[in-house]
Amino acid sequence: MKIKLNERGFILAEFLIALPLLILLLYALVTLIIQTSKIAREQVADYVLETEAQEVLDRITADARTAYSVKIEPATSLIDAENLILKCHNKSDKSTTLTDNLEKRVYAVYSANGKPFHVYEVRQNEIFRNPITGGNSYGDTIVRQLKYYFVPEKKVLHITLEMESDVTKQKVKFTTAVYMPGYQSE
Amino acid sequence: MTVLDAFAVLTMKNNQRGFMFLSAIFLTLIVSFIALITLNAKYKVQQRNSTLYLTAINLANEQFAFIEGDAGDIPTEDKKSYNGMSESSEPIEFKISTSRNGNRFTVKVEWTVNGETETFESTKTIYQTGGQNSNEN
Repeated sequence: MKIKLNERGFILAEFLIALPLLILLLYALVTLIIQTSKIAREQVADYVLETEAQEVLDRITADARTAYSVKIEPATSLIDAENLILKCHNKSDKSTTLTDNLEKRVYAVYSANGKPFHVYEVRQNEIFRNPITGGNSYGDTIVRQLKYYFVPEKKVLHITLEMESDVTKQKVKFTTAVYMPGYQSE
Repeated sequence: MTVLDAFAVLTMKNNQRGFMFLSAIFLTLIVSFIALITLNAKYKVQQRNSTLYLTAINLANEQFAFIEGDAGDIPTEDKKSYNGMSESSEPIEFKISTSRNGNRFTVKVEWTVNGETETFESTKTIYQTGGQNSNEN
């Protein structure tokens, strides 16, 4: 490398100025990548939370539409939750499958093996317990509240669901209601 | 490229002087732009409009159920939501209005967040007295 006499020290000077700048920029870049990853993870976890909450409400309302009987029981003393027992056998309503017509559906809230409270769908013979919420690798969810209020004379089932993301601690609370045209008072 | 620049100093020719300094400036600009875009996106992500939209959909369904069951108006506390915000702040209030054209019921849900008013509308056919219900959303 050949450097003229009057240019001596230029490379060293440039190096001394640029290197701290580069270190600063690399630090900023790494921070940015970490922040972006964190935002992305939180975003996905919140999406999982919303999707699972809506899934629970969709399933309950769809089953309640075809149910002729409804029973509400306390689920656990630890959280404000109830179990919903529906009996679906309504020929006047348009059910899609035979099982929709005949099965008893139980929407139960419990905590299995010390895990957070999740909503399970228990089928006719109570052997198959399908978890509807929780267990998602993108972000677990916790059921904080699942309450029902049924008005027999109006055939309206009122549902309140509150869930929390285990990742972001974000809470969502939805209330909805479903009209049960095939309900028969016992 | 920038890491290589540091090593390139040792083998730098005369006509390459200032290249490292220039690349540091360009890198500063690039990082600034990325930061600007990401930080802007962060606020949009945190507004969580999708949760409020879901809240509105569920409220509209609730209103339809109350119409079908002839159960009056839905409770006032159901129309307030803390979704997407802390419980210390003021809840978002949803305004629900219903219009009717024969058996076609239209429920309109309105809410205001950050000074912007959002709307969700849903229409359903309800036979209140026929005993048989059909619907179309």
